[in-house]
Amino acid sequence: MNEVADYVAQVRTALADLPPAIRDELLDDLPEHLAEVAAEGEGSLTERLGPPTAYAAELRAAAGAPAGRGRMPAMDARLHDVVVQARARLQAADAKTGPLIGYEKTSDFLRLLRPAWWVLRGYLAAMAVAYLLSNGPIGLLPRFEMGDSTVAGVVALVLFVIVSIWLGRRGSRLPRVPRLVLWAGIALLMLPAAVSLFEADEDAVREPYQGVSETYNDVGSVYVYDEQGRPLVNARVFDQFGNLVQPGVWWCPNEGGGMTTEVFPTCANPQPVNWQPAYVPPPPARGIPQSPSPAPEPTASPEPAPAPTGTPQPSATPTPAPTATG
Amino acid sequence: MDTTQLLKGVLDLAVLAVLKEEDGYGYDILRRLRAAGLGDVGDASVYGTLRRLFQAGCLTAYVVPSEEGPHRKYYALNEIGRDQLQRSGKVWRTFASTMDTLLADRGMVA
Repeated sequence: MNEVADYVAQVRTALADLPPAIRDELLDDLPEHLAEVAAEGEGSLTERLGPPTAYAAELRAAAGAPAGRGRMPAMDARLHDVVVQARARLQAADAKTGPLIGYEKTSDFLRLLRPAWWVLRGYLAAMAVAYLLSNGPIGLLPRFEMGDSTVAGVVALVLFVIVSIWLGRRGSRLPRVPRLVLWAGIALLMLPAAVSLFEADEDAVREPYQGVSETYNDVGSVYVYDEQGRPLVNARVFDQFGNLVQPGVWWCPNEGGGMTTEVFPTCANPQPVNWQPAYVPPPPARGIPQSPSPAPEPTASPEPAPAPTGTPQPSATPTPAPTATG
Repeated sequence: MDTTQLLKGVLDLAVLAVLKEEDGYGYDILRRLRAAGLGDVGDASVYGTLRRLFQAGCLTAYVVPSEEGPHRKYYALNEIGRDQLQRSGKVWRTFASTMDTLLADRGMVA
């Protein structure tokens, strides 16, 4: 009996590509039939009927079922079905969405955009190569660390775009394998380019620190002093949620007397602009509890300093930072 | 010429013809076809043909319990099947005699 079940299972596997309804219909009586065969003669089923795959092929032909796909395993056959279905659905969507933009098919329109894509691709590739070679911050133009970086970047950009257009014109005539390699290469180059593009976009719309009330909208930096008016080096200011207070733009005076963008509190010499050494801030207007700050870094400023801001506002304005309610 | 190729076209007719004399189950039908001289016919071909004829409504089926061994599914011709046998038989006889004449005229004998 096991032999029959085994044989049927193998026949079923060989017919895996048939629609389930047709396959089940075909195999409906097979166990009974093979049991009859087994009961009426000598030898194993395989000896008398041949291998299950051959039996399945003969059965397929005799029952008028669609021809099999050779020796394609069941898994591959299923994958193949998925691919075929997905392709059909894509084509249907292509034809359906086309009229919405005034074309017979959306792909007709996309095909018109191909040269534009070649140009964009050249640009992205130039950006990606510049990014990989320089490791520097990335702007909107590719930059190379040689000579006048902007001129070099523009020249490289033009060359990349030309090559990309040339490849676009030639690409469809390449044999299959080089074409696949080309596509894989393009995809690899696009990745860092796309990432940096999104980063640049994020930088463009990033807003300054949001937690500070309107009074502090123009506050570019915050300097923390102790009661004697000595600046607290490496102090950090936290809000009531425990978030580090980092105002929007960070400028530090540099040695040449100018200003450099820095991230507070990393200024080499953490002194506010127009620093007046003689200035001693008045004591805090209200008592501030001496309890340890809830800040994540208690070492920074264990006693919430009166923290007058820098000179832009000489009056002692406590930072909104560590409060008792925290 | 490979007999199996020829059989593909006429197995329906052969199975219907065998069932005209007496109802039969799968293996029994195969044995009768072989006894009639169709030694090349395969079990899967007969089983597949029976399934197809049954689906097409040419056959009725009934199960006969067996004391020893498995139950047997017997197939029998119904009206549609008999009708089909009549028409297919006529087509085949005409075709066969045409081929016979064609070959006999050129001095070939079986």
